[in-house]
Amino acid sequence: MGFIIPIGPQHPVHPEPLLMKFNVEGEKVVGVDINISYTHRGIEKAMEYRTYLQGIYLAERICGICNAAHTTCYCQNIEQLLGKEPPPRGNYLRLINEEMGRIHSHLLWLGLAAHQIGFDTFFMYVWRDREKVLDLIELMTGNRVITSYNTIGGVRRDITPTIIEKIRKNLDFLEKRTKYYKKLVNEEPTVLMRTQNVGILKPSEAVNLYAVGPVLRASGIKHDIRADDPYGVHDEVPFNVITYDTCDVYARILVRIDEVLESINMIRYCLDHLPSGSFKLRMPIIIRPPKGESISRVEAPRGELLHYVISDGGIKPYRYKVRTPTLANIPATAKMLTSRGDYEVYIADIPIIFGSIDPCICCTGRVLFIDIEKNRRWIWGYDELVRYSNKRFERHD
Amino acid sequence: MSEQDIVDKIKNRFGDKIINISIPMKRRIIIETSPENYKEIIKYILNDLNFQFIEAISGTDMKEYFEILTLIGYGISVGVKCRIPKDKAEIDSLYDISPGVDLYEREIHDLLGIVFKGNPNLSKRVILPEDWPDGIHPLKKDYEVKHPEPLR
Amino acid sequence: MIEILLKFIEIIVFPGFIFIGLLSLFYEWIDRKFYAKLQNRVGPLYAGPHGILQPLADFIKLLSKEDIVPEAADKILFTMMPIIFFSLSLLITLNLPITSIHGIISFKGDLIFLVAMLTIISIVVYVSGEVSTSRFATIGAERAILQLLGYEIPFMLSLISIAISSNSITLSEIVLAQKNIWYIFTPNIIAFIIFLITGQAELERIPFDIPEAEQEIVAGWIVEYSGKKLALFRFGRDIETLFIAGLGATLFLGGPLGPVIPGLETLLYTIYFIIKSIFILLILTTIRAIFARLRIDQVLSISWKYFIPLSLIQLLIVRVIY
Repeated sequence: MGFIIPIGPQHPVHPEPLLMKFNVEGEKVVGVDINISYTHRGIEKAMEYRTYLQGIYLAERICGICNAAHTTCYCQNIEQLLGKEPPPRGNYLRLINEEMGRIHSHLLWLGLAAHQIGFDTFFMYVWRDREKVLDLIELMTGNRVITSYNTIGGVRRDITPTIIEKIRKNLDFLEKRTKYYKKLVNEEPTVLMRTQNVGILKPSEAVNLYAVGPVLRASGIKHDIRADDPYGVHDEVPFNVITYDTCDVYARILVRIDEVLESINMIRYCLDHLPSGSFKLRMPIIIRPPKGESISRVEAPRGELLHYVISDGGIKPYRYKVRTPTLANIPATAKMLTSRGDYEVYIADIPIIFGSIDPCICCTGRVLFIDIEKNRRWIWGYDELVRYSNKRFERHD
Repeated sequence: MSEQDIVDKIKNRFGDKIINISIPMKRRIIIETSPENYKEIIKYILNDLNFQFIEAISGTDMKEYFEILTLIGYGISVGVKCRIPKDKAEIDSLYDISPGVDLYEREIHDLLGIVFKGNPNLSKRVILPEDWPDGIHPLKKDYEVKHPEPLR
Repeated sequence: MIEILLKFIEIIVFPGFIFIGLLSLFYEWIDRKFYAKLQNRVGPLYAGPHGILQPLADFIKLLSKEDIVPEAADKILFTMMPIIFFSLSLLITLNLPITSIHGIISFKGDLIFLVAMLTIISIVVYVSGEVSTSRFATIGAERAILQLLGYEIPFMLSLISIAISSNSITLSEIVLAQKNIWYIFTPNIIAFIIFLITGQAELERIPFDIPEAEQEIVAGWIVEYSGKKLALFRFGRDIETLFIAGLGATLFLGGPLGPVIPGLETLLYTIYFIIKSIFILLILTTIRAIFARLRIDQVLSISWKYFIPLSLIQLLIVRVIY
């Protein structure tokens, strides 16, 4: 018997469009089919028509919330092609920016997860505290969400001692609140009932289906790019890789809360050991890297992010490939959402299971047909697609 | 294992099946091979050398041929490249040894037109919309984005 | 003749339909404002002083929206369901003793009548969901009936323990039996707690709002209703909230009883009733704010494993004492 329930493309709880068709029997889910093609923007093709410097701003907008990770990855890639390294102060500031983005992303996700299990009070409290992080990011970079802080060769702005004082004070407040939320998640009975033994992904399945990020670490596998393949100054700043081994949604919540606490400690260490000197290299106005290719990997808040560039000696990249963490987590999600053996998935668990991988669908599909002026969405035919994409490229070229 | 150990092991095992092998940077190894030996080498690196993690598969249109790069590994990243001729754009799929590469192969098929023999889900579109016309692959270099007159 | 006219005014204006309607909108405002304050927010603010006219504004807005009927739905049933729901809620609220010990409708055995009407309301919910012919509505309706299997029995058992304590099943006699001490201060306290929790389930609020879970099935059984029908459903739900709060006040807090000045009895009784039912409403809102939503199998397992044994223990205690 197949009673198919569609969730999406427009749905009150998922902020981005995707279509999941569930085969259900009563309240039990027995099969799922995920379609992520609703937000493909053609960014990889667009990168080939922009100079290297313009590409930073395009890479930033692949995902609004992990934008610090995307720009770090992109700038590192181009620096590897050129064979240069940013100065130490620039590297430390980049790390502070990246970790603040991680705190912001995890707190935002915690509120959304609470909303998805129906616990609106928790959601409101967490998002009130998230405002403190946004204030800090605004102090440091000038923007709240899309920071535009990294550039090829370092960062764009310096940090003053008054800002450092304010960051320290707010970090203390955030640490206190995060510890309170950890206590709440561990002790509140309705939260425990909704998140324990839900969305189980065994370690062997996580490894075979190539899951990344907190989804992998919540199944007990200790892998983090910041520890295994350190980039920037991550080999100098000490931190712990957080794993839990209950393999369910509860473990994922705890992994992310603990990562927030780790990030707070990392930022404190960086502020204490901030070297003096310049914060960016002098770069020519037109960047022309030599022929070659380069791979760069970064631990975004959602998992492991990969950028790959091929340069043919010109001012625009020949090929730019982005592989985002949510795309790698989709097969694992499909596995988590099907009932097998004793493990049963109910319809009521769908939002929290899907939300526990921290989906960023706009990172995932890379053709969304949005008419920005009129704010409509629909599927276009070929001619209209070409005309629209050309109109966009023409404005930037 | 250091990068040089891995390079030596692969060279000893496969010898002449490898066209080129190099260590461009710390923790990066690039191996170049031909399409027939592609799957075998990847299987060896995944299972025998215990790398266990296919990170991404990327396809590029290099004007005279297609190039596929598969990245493997958690800490040290091993990349396996191979060139595919444009007139016969097909290669063995990795689906039977690792079902997690499904989405990557379908994405390359949608955007470049390379056929992965053995992947049963290849006909379902993953990135392009359902009514996209067949045969047109946006990531190829000859898919020009034209500059038309403004709409208004 | 004058009597008939007075009775007519009593039913329509005070304390009848218009008074109940306005009071239930006021209670919705209290609920929303208190819920917002618990969540560190402001709540309704602009419509009227402190947002007190917000529920009325929502009701009027919904009346003016487009009314879409799904093509495959049974038109007659689809239109009748909101009207039946609204009328039943209004009917049972007329039984509550607001201005005196007797409600407007009062007869021997009206406690059983009220419970029966509540069950019929749940069946109306089920039929509304099924007749909408939408997948989400079907699932919401099915969940509503499953939840009914869970909370109905503890609810009735807690009412039975009150009935045994006061030796009657008529609301006015139950009120009179609390002349010396209210039931909340007697060993009936367990029944009070169970009444509050199962009342929350009856009203389909968090942690029991799984039939209308917004995140999963987009408003559940109510999803296809729009415009005037949705306005009637929401208004009926508000009146049901007033009913449960008022029933709690009647059964456990002595109803409208309190120190009176002869001559001003109607006014004072009403004021006492309102204060006591607001107290119950605030407890219900607090429960709504501090829990997450439970899954349907967890609701049923909690009901059958904990509530029913507790209510049976309560029955034994009451049988022994009274």
